[in-house]
Amino acid sequence: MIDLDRFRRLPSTQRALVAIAVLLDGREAATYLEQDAHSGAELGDVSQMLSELTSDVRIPLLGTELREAIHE
Amino acid sequence: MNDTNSGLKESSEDVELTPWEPNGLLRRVDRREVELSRGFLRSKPERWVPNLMLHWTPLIHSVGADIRIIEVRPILNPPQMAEQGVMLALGKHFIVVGADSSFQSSILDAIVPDSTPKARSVVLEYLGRRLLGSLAISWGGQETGRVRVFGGIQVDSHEYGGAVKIVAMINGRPATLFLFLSGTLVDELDRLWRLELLSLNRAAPSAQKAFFEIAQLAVPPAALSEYLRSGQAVDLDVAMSDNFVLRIGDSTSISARMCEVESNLGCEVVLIKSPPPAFPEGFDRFSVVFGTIDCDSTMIAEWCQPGVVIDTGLPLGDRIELWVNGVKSGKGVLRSYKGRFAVEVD
Repeated sequence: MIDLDRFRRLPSTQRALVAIAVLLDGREAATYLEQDAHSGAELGDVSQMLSELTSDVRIPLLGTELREAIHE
Repeated sequence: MNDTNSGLKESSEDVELTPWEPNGLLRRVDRREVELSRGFLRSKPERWVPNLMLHWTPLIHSVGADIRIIEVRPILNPPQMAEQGVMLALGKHFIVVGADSSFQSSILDAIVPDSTPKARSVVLEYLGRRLLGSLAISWGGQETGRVRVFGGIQVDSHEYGGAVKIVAMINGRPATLFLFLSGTLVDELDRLWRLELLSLNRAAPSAQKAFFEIAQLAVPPAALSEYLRSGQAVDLDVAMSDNFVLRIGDSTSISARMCEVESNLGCEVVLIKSPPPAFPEGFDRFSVVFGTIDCDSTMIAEWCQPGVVIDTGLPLGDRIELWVNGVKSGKGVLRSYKGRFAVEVD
């Protein structure tokens, strides 16, 4: 079950970072984001969750989320 | 080596010798560079992260970029950088990845062309995190403990002990990236490299003498006393330069350059020639040296790396020693004679 609200509750800078990470690296993104000093566990979990979406959903969804996060 | 006795001249009163003054002529090397020249500065950091490229090849292929690493080199004085970077902290150590604007534009054009400046800054931060993360994962050394990554770091707001400079070609454009290292991490990498040298050096520790040698002449035994006579001038037939030789016993000969380390003679290793050139039979070995130091196999293993700087502990000056067949036999002063080194025997 994908909890998109958990992703959308992140600050915009973190949302943009997670979106870019999952778009570029898919499942591997969690490996790098979970090393974050302040929010590693949350960023790792959320990116892991998003990377489990099928690519036909994941890519357009994250593209849209990335644009919105950057414009905020 | 000069293998005739043609270097013998008249008394120094009869030939025009001029003083040789090395102070101010030679490259100055600071103490920190000397200390790190056997370890950190000679290290090959890529060997400590053997699987690093496994983490990057899929991404590079997926975006269709052509990225080739040209050079990876530890340096002591990285440039000032006003850009933002990402920091990896590891206990008391830290690394900050920083890239100048040319690297940033090269990598971003390769991965996210035509994107907005804000999107580019997010991608850049992720790539910095990705690089540091992959370094930590690929690290082949001791257990590192918990890694913590911080984004949005002002690169020039920290003090560094050194850096690893990485030069790459990104889609045909040269680009330079720096991994800025804390002083503690530089010291740790220095220790690790020297430890690796030690583990590779299986020779039993044995004391040897190292000669900092300007020239070596093959002298007929019958003429030897002339070479050692007080006031004698000896043309060494060696062009004046900062080149000299670090000779270790009869086993190793190292081409080197003179330098200055806090008023001492420094020896910068250039090229290892082991074993040294053969010495002709039937002649005496007449060596002109600045001095000698005792060393062991561990020190020799560290010295046998081009770029190492050794503080000889000998005061920089024109005083020299004359050695015959490994026995200290006289003293003198190094002089200049028609653009060549010469000796005036005490």
